[in-house]
Amino acid sequence: MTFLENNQIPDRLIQKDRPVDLFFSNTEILYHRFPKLLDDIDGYIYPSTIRFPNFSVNRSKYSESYDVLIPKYFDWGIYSFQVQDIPQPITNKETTYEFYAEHVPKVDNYSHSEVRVSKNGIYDEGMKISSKIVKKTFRFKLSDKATIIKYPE
Amino acid sequence: MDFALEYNSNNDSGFFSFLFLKNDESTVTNDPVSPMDLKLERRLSKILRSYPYYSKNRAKLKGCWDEKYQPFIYAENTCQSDDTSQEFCYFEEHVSTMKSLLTLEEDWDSYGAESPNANSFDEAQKILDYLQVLNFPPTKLVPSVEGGISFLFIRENKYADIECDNDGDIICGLSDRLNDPVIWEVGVDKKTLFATVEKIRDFFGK
Repeated sequence: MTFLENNQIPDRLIQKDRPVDLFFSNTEILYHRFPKLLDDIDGYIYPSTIRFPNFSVNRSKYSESYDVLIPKYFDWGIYSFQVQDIPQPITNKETTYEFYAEHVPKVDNYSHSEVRVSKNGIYDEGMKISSKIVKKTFRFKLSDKATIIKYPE
Repeated sequence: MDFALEYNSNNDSGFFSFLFLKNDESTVTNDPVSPMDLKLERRLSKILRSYPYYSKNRAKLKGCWDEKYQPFIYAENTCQSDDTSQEFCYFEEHVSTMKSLLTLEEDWDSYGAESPNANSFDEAQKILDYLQVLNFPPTKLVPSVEGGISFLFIRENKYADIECDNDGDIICGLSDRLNDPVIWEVGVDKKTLFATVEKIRDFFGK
């Protein structure tokens, strides 16, 4: 199944001259796709399906859920969570990790955003998180909040 | 010091006997058990009775002594080639799944996920062997989007996850979806793996 008309990316996704929108409401929904290989067992998303840190999502303010399947993943699944479901900060060995949504629009996907992690208040794209406990805790907490809205076909 | 022994039981009389295979299975001893061995036998019997898998009449066990001279069994072999029990079939399926995960291509999740490598595969193989020993099959094996192989255990609203990552590390977690998850790193030694599986079994009340 395809959601594209004439293989065109929907207008709602084209950035044009729209600026970055830094504001996310707590109830805004974020979408992420997943392959059939990670198909659910009982309707839940599990931590092995959750990335960490810094992963891409589409935000609901500027897209439909199935836009995350563009351009070629139309038989994949989609899971979602609200901004307020992003886990609260985790402190480990005097380092505090904070998690948040950041709008990172692309020319052909204005809704593109990232769930990011900062370390003691500083975000660095290439930052390595050495604590596997922190990583796993984040992935568990988010997976407990995530909801499957489309199953892989 | 490692040990190996052969365990025999007669389910009718409840009689247990152990044939010690000292360190090397080729040096079988039929010597009568010493008082120390009798004490050991009682300990072993207690361990054995706690696992349904050991209700079979015969098992070969391998183990080692911990720092308090307690026996710690880390491997056994009771599975017969004609074993068609449900548990045995589960493990056959998981072995097949694990092999298939090695053929995954990079970026299999379209967001740049690494495919499982030899490090994660080796550790996952050890865990799978051990789970089979304990007759505790996972619900599913899946690749991890962070690179590695995860064992998922799901019982009603609870789940546990043992993840073997591509660095060769093992991270575990338990969740009931209501409270904060319990997360811990696991050493790759047999005793720690044993304790981890026990913790997960306890979590599920089994």
